[in-house]
Amino acid sequence: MKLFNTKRTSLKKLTPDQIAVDIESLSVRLNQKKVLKKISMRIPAFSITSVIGQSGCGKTTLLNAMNRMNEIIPDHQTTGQIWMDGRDINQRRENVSNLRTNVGMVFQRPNPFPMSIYDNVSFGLKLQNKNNRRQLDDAVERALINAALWDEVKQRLHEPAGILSGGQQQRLMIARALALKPKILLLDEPTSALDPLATLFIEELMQSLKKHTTIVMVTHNMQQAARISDYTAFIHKGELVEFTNSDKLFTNPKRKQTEDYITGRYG
Amino acid sequence: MSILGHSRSGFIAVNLSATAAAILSLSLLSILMYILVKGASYFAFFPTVIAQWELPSGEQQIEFAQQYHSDAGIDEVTLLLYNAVKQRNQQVTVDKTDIVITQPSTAVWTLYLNNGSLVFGHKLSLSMPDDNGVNLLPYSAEHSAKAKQAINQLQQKRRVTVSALAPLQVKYAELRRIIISPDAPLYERLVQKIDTQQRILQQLDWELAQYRLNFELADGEAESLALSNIEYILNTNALSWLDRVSFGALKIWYFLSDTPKQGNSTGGVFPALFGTLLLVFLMTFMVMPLGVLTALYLHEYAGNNGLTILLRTIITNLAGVPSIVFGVFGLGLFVFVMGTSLDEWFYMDRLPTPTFGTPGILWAALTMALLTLPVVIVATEEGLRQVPDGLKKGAMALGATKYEMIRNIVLPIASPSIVTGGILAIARAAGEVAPLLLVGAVMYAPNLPVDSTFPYVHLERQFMHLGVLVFDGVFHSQNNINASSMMFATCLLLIMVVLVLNSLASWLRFKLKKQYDWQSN
Repeated sequence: MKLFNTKRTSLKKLTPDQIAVDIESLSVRLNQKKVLKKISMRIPAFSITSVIGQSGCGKTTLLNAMNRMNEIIPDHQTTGQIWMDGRDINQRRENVSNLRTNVGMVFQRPNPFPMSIYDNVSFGLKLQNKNNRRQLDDAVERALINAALWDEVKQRLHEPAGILSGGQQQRLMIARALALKPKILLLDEPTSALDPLATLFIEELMQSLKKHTTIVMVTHNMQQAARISDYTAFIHKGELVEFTNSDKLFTNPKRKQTEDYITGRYG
Repeated sequence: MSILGHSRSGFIAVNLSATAAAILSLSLLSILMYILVKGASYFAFFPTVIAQWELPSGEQQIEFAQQYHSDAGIDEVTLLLYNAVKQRNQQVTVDKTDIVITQPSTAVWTLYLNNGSLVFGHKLSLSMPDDNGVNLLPYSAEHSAKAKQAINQLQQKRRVTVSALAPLQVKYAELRRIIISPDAPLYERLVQKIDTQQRILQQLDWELAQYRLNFELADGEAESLALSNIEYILNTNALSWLDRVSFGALKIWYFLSDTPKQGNSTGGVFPALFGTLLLVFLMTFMVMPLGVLTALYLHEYAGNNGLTILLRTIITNLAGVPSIVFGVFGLGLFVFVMGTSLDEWFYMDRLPTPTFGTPGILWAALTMALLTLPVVIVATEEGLRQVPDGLKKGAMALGATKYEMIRNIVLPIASPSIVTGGILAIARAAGEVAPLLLVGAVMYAPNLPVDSTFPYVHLERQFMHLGVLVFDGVFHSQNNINASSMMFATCLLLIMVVLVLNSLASWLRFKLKKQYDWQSN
């Protein structure tokens, strides 16, 4: 793997069709507490963007803002705009269900439903009333192949998902999201509960996924961010401190706060 | 040094709690055994004896009887004999000192009558009519079978006649109600038809009464009974061991399938069993949707504010309200307010006879549903709390709406707990008696709530209930051994009904738990 890819486009020179998500002065309040303060960033398409920062700095909230999962918390308030495909997803008339099928999400701990592997992967499709058996079979197979899990589970598609190992389960979660063919995939510390080998598997998977998907990942592991992401954003106390090419951010940070964080002076 | 703190290994504490547990299980077991033994005696076999004893006046009385106790320790003998004058069974207790003889005899036959009475007699003979008149035949299996065949044919004819007569009588009642003039041709034709049918019925009844069983009582007095009134004739003392067991099984079957007789002191309990099961099923269908939806609203939709806290407090306290209060409430609201309104809106033509404005199984089921609602809500909420947030978020992240998330993820995972709520509700509803007495359960109901007349299900009817039957049985069990054992048998059946319903629900719970076990990973 090439660690320092110099061919990456600079964030400042992105053309409009290279931007997957355009966040403009996003502020989020949860439970009367300001979590994100006026964040503006442009996430490039077909690349891996890492979000790093201390615990509680608002990384996950930023991720959740991109598929409006913050709304699960009863006391929430979001201002600012998030543009995807030329529309602001924070608008009232946005179809949240559709948005979430287009913006897939994988959580820190694998959370397979108490169903078979097949039913887990086809869950989202069935919600959209796609019940044609043949099409479902195809979609499940494609998703599992894309998630590099097909060879391991093709013999036991109808066994409960709980029998899989932690790493397999996390790949199943990715397959579950991929089955809906999302344009953007949000990963919330996807490897923090996994062993190094399973982590390596997921990281390789992400590299192959970015050909047709934009990946935004929250991570605590700075080596991981440096290793696999094209761009990295550093958030501190709800503010975007620095967002640039990963190699630049980790080798030559412009801001003092970033330097302190990546050298381990806090966090 | 305190008693429990005496030894650091907790020797005494362990032994104390073990003893308490042992005492508790022993007492539970003994309750069960007591009911089992007492109840089983309803199906047990008692010897038939010739008994002779001295009355206080100095006269001697001789009777055929069933002897209940032959224990050596008891200085009294309890006998069940048939009083031919009052035409019913009578239980007498005689001091052993007054007894001249009590001897089992194979000459004495026991006649089990349709109305639940036992008649004892000897020297049996059959009266069978044929074309030349009535023949007197000795009693034998062959002749009795022949008589039975003839009686069955006559009874079949009688049933046909009765079913032909019923609609005519209904029409007659209808014509009477609209006050048609008595000389209208329609009316006259109808009366004539009814007359013809009734004459046929009388003729059949007369023919049936010709088949008789003649026998002699212990004091030598000749008696005779219509064969159609006798269920079966047995020489009980001559029966083999196997016959006795199969007769006991037959008695159990009659107990389950027959109606109570002689003021609930003998016969079967079928209407009460049916009423109990129907009540429980109706109650379950009412309480489960209501309870589950309430719990879902409280847990998933309602905000965590003062109102929901108040609501939860009310629900948990509702579980502690005495059941009779629910009965009074059901009577006041359901019967008097809702039932009366229903009558005024839909059954105007039947007033002043109330249809729903009187206690009935529908109101009883509603009352029981109200009574068990807190149990279901609390159990369901417990189940909802167990659904991991991660799964809910996972479903939402795949584009599920809140409703889809609840239907596809939350409800399946919570289903074992919901079924647990159902189990608790069923156990409570099947055993509760006090509120039922107010809202529809009766000691004796002539009709089942479900029968063959349109509209087949009559939820406005009063019904019988096993618990109420036990309650009724307590009052005449003191001086009647048969009634007492029937009451215990009813208790046993009630326990078994609850047990069977519970095991069904537990099995369902087990299946669900196996299917939706999110913890297996």
